[in-house]
Amino acid sequence: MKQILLIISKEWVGFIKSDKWIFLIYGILICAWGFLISNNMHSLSSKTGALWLAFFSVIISGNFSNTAFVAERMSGALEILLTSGLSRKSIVLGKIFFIVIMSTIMGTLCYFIALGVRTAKGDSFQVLIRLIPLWKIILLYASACFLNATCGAWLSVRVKSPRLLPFVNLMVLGIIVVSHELLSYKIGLSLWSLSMVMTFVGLIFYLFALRDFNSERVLQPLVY
Amino acid sequence: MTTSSKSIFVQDLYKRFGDKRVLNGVNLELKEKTIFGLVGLNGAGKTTFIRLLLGLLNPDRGSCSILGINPSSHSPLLYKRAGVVLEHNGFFSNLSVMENLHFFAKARDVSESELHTYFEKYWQETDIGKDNRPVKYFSRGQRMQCALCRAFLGFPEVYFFDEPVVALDMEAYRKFCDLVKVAQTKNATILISSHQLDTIEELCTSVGILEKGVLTIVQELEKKKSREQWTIKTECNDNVKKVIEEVTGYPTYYKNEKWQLVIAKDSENVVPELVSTLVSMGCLIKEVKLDKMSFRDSIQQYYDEKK
Repeated sequence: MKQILLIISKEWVGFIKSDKWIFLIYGILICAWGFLISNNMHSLSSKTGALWLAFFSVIISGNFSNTAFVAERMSGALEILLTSGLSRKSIVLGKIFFIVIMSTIMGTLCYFIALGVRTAKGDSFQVLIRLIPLWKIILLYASACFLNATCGAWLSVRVKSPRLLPFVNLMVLGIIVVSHELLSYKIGLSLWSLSMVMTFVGLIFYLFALRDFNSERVLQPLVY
Repeated sequence: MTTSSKSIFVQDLYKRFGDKRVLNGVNLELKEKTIFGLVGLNGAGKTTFIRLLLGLLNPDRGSCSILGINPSSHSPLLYKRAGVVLEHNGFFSNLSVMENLHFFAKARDVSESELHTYFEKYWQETDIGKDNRPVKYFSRGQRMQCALCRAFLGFPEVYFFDEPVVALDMEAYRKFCDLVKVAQTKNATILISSHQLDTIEELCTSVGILEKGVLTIVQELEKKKSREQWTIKTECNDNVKKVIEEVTGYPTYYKNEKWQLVIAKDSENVVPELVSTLVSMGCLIKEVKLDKMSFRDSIQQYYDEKK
């Protein structure tokens, strides 16, 4: 646990010391996506709004995965990190936790912006919050982030060309969401089950990532 | 000497990438206080060898142990006791030197006070010690200094340096040499891979040449350093070359479009007789001189003889 916290704190310091314009870009992204979701937050399309938020995780988690996994591999920092005295498991877990925590915070902010926009347009906050409970939305979003983070961790080692990473993330999330929606027409699945499926698939990706981080694949040359 | 008493023990190590065989049965035993220089041409497999020793790559065959631990186990216990400088400096670019060092100190279980004592004693007065900016703003040489600073942190028991002096200025180079000697006095085992043969000559107590996947240990390095030799440069044909080699038993080799005959200083009594023989065979003697042979020349000669 101590080692995982050490990795999380390292990632955090690295993030807050990023160039200032990165925060501006994140700010713009969160606001823009918040406005987008706000258009899908009425009684008929509340689920669509929640799914829009899930897809926001591809952008945010994908970007954090790039910094935490791909950029470190490219700079050679990962090679040194692997020989730093920390276990490989805590390195992978620490980075995944950091990505999930940061992405979830940003997604929550995005959702509150959407709520704010609707409220400003005259909708009742109480009604909006009752359409889909907040914890369900956050759980859905966090599980999507977990899926993207673990998929990113695995792909950062598996694929030679990491620029494909966000596309594959988008594809994986898309397949899961579309399959879930198709099934839900037949047997009436809820967002809760979608969260569970994404978490389960994320766990599988995590095991793949762990296996590849313990192999020499972690050193294969990158093509950018 | 048992395996566990050796800091680095490598037995019959094989590694190939696809069709290319990089290591072809490498053996090596290094005790504590040894500074081992690893030399070889580009692509000889030096970096691969170091990565295998660190468990970053897995051998196809053979075994190795570092401080009695199999590196393929990726044991944090091993890495906490090893200082590493690889191809890239490996510092986190958004963090300052001190922030990076804090991270690595915690990862290696080096105490805060030990970190500060070490930094103040060895690095405070250097340019990286006075610079609080993130490492991304540093020059290549400064980044290499950061990597060295990290490697010696806590003075671990074993060190792996892959081209550690590239881009270092004179002051930083001197700092590196001093720290290597300090580590040696603390009974560390140090492996330095470098093309900078002057560094190898200055620091190392033994040297290995990695060529075609095989590690040849240069015994008695002291004798290789700065030895004297006679060189006879002559123009002659292949037949004469064979006769000379058969008669004298000395190696001759083709260098700079001239046949060159090298004779050790302790056999100098044969030089007048040999020159006379060569002249009688119709060879044109271009030069006869006594050289002081540097370590660089010794290594060069090794490769020339191989050709």
